Amino acid sequence: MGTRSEEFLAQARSDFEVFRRLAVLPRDEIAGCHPMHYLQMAIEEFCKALKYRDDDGTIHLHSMVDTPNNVLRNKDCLKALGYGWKWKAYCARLTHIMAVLRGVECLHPSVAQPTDAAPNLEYPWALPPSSGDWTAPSRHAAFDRDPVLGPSCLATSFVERLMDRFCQLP
Amino acid sequence: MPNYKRTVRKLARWHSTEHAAKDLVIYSYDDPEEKVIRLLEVSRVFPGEQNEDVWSMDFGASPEVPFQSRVALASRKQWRAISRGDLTLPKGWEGAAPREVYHGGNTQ
Repeated sequence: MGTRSEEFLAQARSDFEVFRRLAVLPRDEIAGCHPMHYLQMAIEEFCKALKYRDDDGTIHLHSMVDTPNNVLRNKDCLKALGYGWKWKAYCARLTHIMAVLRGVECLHPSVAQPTDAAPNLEYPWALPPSSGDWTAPSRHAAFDRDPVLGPSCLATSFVERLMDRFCQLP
Repeated sequence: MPNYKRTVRKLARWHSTEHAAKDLVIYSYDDPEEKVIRLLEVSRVFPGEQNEDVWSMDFGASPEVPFQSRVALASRKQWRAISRGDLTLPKGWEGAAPREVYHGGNTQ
């Protein structure tokens, strides 16, 4: 047992490990939505660990993109993570990484699917709405091709680094 | 039948676009059986001390990359330690020689 923040971090790490284990399986055995779902949960839990570490009752933090600039866009963060980027290059890479991770976060049902009409990682959707033409996430081929399951390993390794260096983050 | 070396080049190209570090070098540890793509990406911007293990992020075969792929990021310090034999590669990478497939803007 630990603090609320520590336990959210433990859950984030555990979910990230499941992401890793599912990601390595062929996409025709395990659909892309499943590892992506665990990555999405790991990101959310990491953000909550950060929120509860610093919570003064005012932070509204559900996603990486909402992470306060004083944490990630901070030279001390760059130093804590150990990347050798110059500050300007770090900011540019951070923008890219956030865009990739935001793409995953936007596939949360509450964000993506207010009208049952948008792809998300958990529930079938009908597109166009009321068309009767439904698709399950596990049958949505675009998830199998998502960059986060391959080409964007910079973003996923960044998430893992954030969790590893959590205690050193500003 | 997907072409192994062409897919290695494709993946290296994607990753070099993403990182855009001027000093990025990507090595392929080719699998003689052409079942697994293993890329080691080296740049001074990646974190990692010379005694810090290099780990890989592994991905299953997909429509875009029809081979299992493993990608590891290493700092220059780690790369020098690997070259000296002081640091081991991720498990399963042993026995293959590195083949440079990307060097600072050029896909080989």
